[in-house]
Amino acid sequence: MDTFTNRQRLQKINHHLLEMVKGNFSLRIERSDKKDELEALAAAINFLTEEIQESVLHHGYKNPDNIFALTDQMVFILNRSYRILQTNNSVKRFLQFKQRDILHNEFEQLLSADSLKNWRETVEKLEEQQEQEARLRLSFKTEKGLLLPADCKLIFFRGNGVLQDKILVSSSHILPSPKNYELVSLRNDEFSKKMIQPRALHKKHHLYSSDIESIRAAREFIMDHIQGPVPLIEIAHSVGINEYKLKRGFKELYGSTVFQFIKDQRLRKARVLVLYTNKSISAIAKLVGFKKGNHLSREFKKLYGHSPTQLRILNIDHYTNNFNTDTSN
Amino acid sequence: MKKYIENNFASFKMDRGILHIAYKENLCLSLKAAKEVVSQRLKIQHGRAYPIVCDMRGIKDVTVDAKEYLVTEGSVLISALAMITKTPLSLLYTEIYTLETPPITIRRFTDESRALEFLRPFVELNDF
Repeated sequence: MDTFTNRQRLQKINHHLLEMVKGNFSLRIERSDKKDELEALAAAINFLTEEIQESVLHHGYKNPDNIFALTDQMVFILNRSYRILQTNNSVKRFLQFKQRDILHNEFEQLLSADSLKNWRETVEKLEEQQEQEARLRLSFKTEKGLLLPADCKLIFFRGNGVLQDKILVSSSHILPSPKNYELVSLRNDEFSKKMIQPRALHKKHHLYSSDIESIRAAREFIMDHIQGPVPLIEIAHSVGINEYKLKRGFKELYGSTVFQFIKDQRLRKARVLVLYTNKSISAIAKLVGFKKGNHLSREFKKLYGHSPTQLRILNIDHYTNNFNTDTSN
Repeated sequence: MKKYIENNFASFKMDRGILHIAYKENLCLSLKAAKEVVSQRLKIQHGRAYPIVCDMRGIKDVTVDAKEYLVTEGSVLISALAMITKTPLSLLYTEIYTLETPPITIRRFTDESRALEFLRPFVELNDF
């Protein structure tokens, strides 16, 4: 029995890897409650897929001349018993089910076990409160048993109208691939001229794998030294590349300059210290790597729209200490 | 005297200068969960850095944005971190976390008493 289950788990991993080979990074392997090596493998592959998906999207937005992001939607129309009355063609595309195989079935059968709870709670809330719309994140099961997570919108049509007493569920998906770029540029020449051509004129600077390794090492060096001064020349020397290559490559790989990255990291840390501790602003500044409190305040306001002191006032309730004392131990 | 609190995602116990954090069973650590855990931890610490022993065994899943948050915001005010891992799954998440090397001393353990032994030098004297 166990061998059979493991074979099924391995089959799902296999299906998922094949989808990745095809360039589909939207799917995930459904997770079980086990904590063994196979589960760790599935978790690692899911994590990697999520990272690749984010990275592909990042490059898609940054370099639309290479890869373009196109959105698509799955649409389900349900009756009041939550059975599927109609779908669009994207359902077949994303979940591989033929329409006739899912029509009149319960919508819940398409959802993962984790999503089912979320779906039922949302529907119940909508029914109780007589609200019309809700947003929720659902994971759909594909025909091969993989998962497709998606941000969804749920609309209850009440009152009179063509869709009276029907429920519409739509899910949004971003598709990054050269094929999509071609599709978009063919369909909309004007749009592609505006969005794609000016970028295409930029000269390309390709990074070699050794450069990528050095730039990743530079990021680690920065993270290790973020509390003190981190001059560019020191970072470059520590990883054995020149400053010019570090500056260009870092922006190419991470989408921000070295200085912006350092500043953002420090400000993110400062923000939680402002919110959840009583430390003075100057003490927080020193702790996260700013020389002075007023420097931190200035940069903080630029990024978050309010000073650290203003943020503390806005979130005064976060200071309530609800840490219980258990004297019985 | 021990202090204990728990939220939807983890339990927190301060004992002789070491903060014990244990993630709840079958936890899917999303960004929201990571934020709750970090804010609860910082409220307990009152602005001081502490050595922390973190039991990772309950974690079922971690999202990429949650990991990013834990590596950046989640690394403040930690003088040393001992992570308890006993299953291949918890070992994976520990490795993913340490891969980005937050600027703190981190060690992995399967045995809690050895983890506490490792953290003891980081405890400030007046916390005993």
